[in-house]
Amino acid sequence: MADDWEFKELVQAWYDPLHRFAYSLTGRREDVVDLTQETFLKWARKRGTLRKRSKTKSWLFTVLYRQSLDQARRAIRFPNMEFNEEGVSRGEGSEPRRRLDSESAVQALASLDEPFRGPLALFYFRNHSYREISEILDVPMGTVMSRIRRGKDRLRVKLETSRESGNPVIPFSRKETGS
Amino acid sequence: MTNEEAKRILSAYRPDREDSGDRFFEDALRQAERDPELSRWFKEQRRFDRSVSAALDGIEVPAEARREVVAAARVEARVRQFPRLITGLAAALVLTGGLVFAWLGTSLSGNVDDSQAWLKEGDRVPEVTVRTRDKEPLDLAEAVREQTSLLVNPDYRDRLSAEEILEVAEALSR
Repeated sequence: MADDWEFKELVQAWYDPLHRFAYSLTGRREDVVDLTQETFLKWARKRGTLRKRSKTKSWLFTVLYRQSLDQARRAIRFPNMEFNEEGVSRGEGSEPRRRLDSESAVQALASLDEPFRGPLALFYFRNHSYREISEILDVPMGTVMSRIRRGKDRLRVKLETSRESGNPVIPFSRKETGS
Repeated sequence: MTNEEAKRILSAYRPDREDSGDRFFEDALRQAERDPELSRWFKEQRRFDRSVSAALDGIEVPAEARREVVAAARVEARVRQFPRLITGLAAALVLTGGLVFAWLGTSLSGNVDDSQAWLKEGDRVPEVTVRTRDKEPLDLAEAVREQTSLLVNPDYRDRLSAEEILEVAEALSR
């Protein structure tokens, strides 16, 4: 029962951040629930072997990140031919404007190349220090920072393109963004 | 430090985390305070970061998702426990069998030890001889030792004839 309680506490604390992280990496709602669930189930299976409980947060994000990479590799080899419901659900809901903003930000982020997606998502979710981000992504801290910088430039371009196509998402001025 | 270098560093700055106290950012932050162009760029950068963060924080999470994870973990735990239960039962059976076997062995060897201890008291065994199936005269003590051990050994018990057992018993009762 104690294990059950500990698991519930963990889910309570980290489900939402992991879910959002997964969504920002994949941009596909249909994958997010599975990815997040599998991450927690992996923890449940392996919790006896985890040495440092203080590293649980980083462990969860690392596992989810690696799973998303595996999934992306599989998707390249075996393209998903299922019907994509994304277009149908977009714009529905009680807060269409806010939903659109989040949705566009996620889609812009998820469309970035893989080396920029993880660092930027972890940067924007603000749950981790740079040391933790470096551990999760398994790249040096300097690389994390340089990817964040380059990733931001790419993200701006994506969002600007989105704005120019008549879908203003993030309020920022093009003139002031040049670096 | 050039403005370009400062921008590179400040791109990674998050004021709402421990970055604000990090010495890594100190010089670049000071330069942003001094240089108007860098200051403008930094403000815009912060606005952009806040906008993206707020948009990502606004990602809706299905309300039932957490309950589903907990339920899935319970189901998986039960499925994992089933083979363990079977293995545990099998182990318990083997252990019980082993203990019973060991207890029986101790019990039988105890009988033999008792008989041999009794037989060592040589004065209790009369100096007589008996004839066995092949009619060869035998020392009684030797015969009793041999046949007692045969009696308690199930492999040999059935090889003794009733006549031989009776002969030993009669000799002992005399």
